[in-house]
Amino acid sequence: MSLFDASTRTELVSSVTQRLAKRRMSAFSVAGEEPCRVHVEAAVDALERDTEAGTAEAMRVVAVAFTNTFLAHGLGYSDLTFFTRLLRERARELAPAHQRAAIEQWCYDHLVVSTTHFMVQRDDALQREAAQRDIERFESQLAELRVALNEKTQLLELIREASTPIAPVVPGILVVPLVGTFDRFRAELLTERLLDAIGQSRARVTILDISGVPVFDTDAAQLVIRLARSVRLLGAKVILVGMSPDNARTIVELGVALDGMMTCRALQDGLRAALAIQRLKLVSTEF
Amino acid sequence: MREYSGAALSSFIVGLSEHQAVVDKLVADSGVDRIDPEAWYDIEWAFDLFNKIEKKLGRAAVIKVGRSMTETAVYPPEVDSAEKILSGVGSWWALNARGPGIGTITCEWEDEHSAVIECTAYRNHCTLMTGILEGACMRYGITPLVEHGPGSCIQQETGDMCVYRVSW
Repeated sequence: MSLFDASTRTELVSSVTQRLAKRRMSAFSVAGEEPCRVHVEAAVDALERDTEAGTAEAMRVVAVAFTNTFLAHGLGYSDLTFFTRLLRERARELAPAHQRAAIEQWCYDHLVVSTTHFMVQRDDALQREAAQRDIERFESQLAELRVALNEKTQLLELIREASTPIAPVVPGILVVPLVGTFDRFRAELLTERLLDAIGQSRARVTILDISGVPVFDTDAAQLVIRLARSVRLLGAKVILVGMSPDNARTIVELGVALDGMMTCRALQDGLRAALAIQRLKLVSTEF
Repeated sequence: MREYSGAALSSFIVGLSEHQAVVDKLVADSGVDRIDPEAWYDIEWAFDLFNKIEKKLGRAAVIKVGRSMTETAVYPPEVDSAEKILSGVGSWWALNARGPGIGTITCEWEDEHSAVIECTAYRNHCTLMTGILEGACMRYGITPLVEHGPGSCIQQETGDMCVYRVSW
């Protein structure tokens, strides 16, 4: 036998639906009357079936469906309890007295299941929000790191360019003072820039001043030899100046041959030699 | 001109004493050396400061400040329960803000443990308002559930008022 007769059932569904839909600023008023009616009917069906069968199976299904539907419309915990309280209140009023205890238990179980599901969904949403915030924070840190890296790269580029200056001291003569460690990267950079400068200025002599290179070892010597070969291919000569006694001894001990490369002790000597190659000489003039 | 009371602003700042250095800097960056409890401040300036503080210190810090604002505020002796303080929260706002269009806060009871608060004050500051409502109840030993109603929110530009449901 059904818990409610047809007219009582209609009254129950109608009154609960209307109260839900009229609840101000709630998930129910946002969703509208029709979804409210659908869920109230489903809940009353489940209440009748479970009460008759003595189970709570139908209740679980409708409680989860109810929570899912209204969560999409901003369901809050007070809305959730309002639904169950209202249904309980009206069902108890309209049901036969001997069924009130069963209704009480069903509504209690409905509240427990829907609350649990609500908490799970809320927790899931919070975790998603936290993960999203983490992603935003990491992206922001990454962007800051990219900016810092760009600035550092630009600064390094500036330092590299400043560390390999090419000075056209006299027409046809370039002076390249090397300062600091002369490694493969700097050698490649210098080769590229020097060949460009020779091409543009039509220089015939390049003076490489290595007095600022602290350690002139095999690797550095090989790099200078390769640089000199490239320069010679453009028809220019290389004069190596600024060789310290220690560096000269090291080169001899290592057996590095600087054949085909003129060496001078100081920059002035190198400049004098370069002027001679250019058939030029410095004269003092009085104004 | 709409203005916000220095007293309320001071209680906001005092509530952030754990982050004094950050708050001092934000206040100084806003062009003010110190908050004078006797003075009135441009409400847009005050709200902009709230925004900056929320952005810098996060939602939890602002909720905490909102709580301390109502927990520590001075009320007449007849206000002696959560129900009375929630019912009078609109008057509290009217004492702390002045000028045209400052907005209102109204309270309507659904039952003895559930109130609906409609707010057009504290525009764009749902977090602070949540804290204020929590603090109103916590002052009388009640830890309430404060939920922002769906469907209308000034901050999210989905309506011209914010509705909070306070229940315990």
